[in-house]
Amino acid sequence: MRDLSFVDAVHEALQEEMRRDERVYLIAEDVTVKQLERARLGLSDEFGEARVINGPIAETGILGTAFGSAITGLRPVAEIASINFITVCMDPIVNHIAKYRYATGRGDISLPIVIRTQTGNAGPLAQGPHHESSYEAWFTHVPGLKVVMPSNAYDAKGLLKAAIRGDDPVFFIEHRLLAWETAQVPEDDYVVPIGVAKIARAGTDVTIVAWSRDVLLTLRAATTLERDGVSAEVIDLRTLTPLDEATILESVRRTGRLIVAHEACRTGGFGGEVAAMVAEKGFSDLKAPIMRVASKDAPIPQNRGLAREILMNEDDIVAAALRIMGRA
Amino acid sequence: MPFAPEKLVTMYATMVRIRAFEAELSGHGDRYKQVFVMTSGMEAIATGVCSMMAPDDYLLSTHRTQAHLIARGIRLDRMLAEILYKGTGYCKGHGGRQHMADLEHGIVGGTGIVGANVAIACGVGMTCKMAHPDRVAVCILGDGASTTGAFHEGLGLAAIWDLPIVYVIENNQYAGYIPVAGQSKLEQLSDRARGYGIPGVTVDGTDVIAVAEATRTALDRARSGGGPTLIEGITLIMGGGTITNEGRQWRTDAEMAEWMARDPIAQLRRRLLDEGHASEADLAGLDEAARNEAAAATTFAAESPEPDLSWAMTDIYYDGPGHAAASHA
Repeated sequence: MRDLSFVDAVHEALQEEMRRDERVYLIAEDVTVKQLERARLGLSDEFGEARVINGPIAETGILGTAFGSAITGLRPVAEIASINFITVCMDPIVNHIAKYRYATGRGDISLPIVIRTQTGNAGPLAQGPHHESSYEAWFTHVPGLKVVMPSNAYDAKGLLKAAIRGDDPVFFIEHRLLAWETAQVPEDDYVVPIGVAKIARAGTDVTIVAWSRDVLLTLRAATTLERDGVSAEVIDLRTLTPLDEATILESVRRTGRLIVAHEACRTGGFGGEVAAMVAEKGFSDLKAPIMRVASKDAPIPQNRGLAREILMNEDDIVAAALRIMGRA
Repeated sequence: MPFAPEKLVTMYATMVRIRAFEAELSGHGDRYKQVFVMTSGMEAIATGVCSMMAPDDYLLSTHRTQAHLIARGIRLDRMLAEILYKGTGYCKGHGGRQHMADLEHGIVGGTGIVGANVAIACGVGMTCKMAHPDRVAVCILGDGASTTGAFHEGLGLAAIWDLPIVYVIENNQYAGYIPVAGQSKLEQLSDRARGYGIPGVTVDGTDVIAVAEATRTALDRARSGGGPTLIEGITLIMGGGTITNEGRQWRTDAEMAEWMARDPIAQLRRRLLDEGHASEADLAGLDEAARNEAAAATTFAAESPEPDLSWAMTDIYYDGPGHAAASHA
């Protein structure tokens, strides 16, 4: 075990999987964003430009290429620098990558595509309305895709390896502000299974479900709540689809209360799906109405003061937990 | 190098098989209340292109898959069954005409999204380049696809990466109701190739030999590492673009008469007879065999069961070998 940053864990996963399987290749726009460059560090030297392909700005072309190569036997890891850019290449993802097997009636065809992309607010390095959105919920609405959003370096490495080795297309979404966060990561090979949530912190009073960077905010909020006498259980979803319903329901059975916290704006956010699932399958366990903590329904502005008005934060999670406990 | 007479006779046989299948299909229009998208008049492009492909080459088609896939060797009975959404069809009734595929035989398939396969072909070309350097990806598209973003991104990437791809525009002169003059200011759509620094060539799309020759040159170029080529074949759909004949009304009678006279099958038939490569009886035999094969496809499809209702929820995620292990990897 050693401390490794999220981005270095991603780098190791890519490097190790490319060494393990020569069908794995990377395809990206060669954008000069520090953490994106860091994740690809030295890979073109080791594997050559044939397996680390820098494309021009042509997202539909890049994802079309990833798809066409995957159905004919390669294992592409395609990088789209920001989840906002995915708006210009929805067709390859939604109509082709997600539906090819269904449309052709061939579930036995391996479709190993990993789409890596960055999401969320960029903190002090403001990027504004065309870069900082959180659109993960869109892709949970497309049957045929798996959506993975790790919160830490350990999970990032293990989930990325599982995604690359698997036979389904995986949307692998990395929060920008997690890039330099470190965690203990083993040196030995390991994978983290897709579709399995993790209890990041055990508690007895309220279950708070989060994913990606919001797990960090929720864990900090849980520490604050502990001082206020509220024991919060934090579930790190890790994978949005397929959703680990059992872990959530089992937790709610013990705590009787559910909060879902996400940076994405409230309306149509994945929190609504988690809430609906628990309302359908765990209603009798609930002692209080389910609550959502989410950002306001607005784009993310450049000005950071304005952005703070929009984005949910750990204080919002604390306030929601106190409210659900009848303490505020 | 001219084509051997046997090759030309095989091309004729393929074209009449396509035509006979369409005739059979049109007989199902009322019964199945479907809009069948027709290809009569476009047989020469499908046949000329596919007759030059090597067994391991890949084919990507359009939403108008029938002619291409028949020319590439797909089974007519299972194809018709799929077009009629039967359980014995290629796609379990999930895909119908637009998504017909047979990956084991290099048929990557059609698409319901016009132009999408131009970019997807880049990935198939990437597989050829990285893993099977003896193979080429052939992507057929319509004139309407040449105005999409995927066309421009796909051609751009294929060019800069020198991918082994042959793009073939099947220019039937209308995208929906829009004539080609309403789609582009260019005199010919193959001129678009110049924008990407690759060769572009326009041929008579009703002349199967001209199509085959252009394809052979492009395949040789791709296979030897020379990169992609854009071929345009000009043709017209005889009748309307669909079985309901929509679009027919704004084609002038003179335009239709001109193109009917250029029926690609009649052209090759004349040539085979004039050059003594086949007798009337030989060709009549091929015509009859095609009709019988198409009729047998109808029998097969008609007698086929509906899809098992459990198939509504299959094939969404991987269910092939080792899938249980993979999901717990």
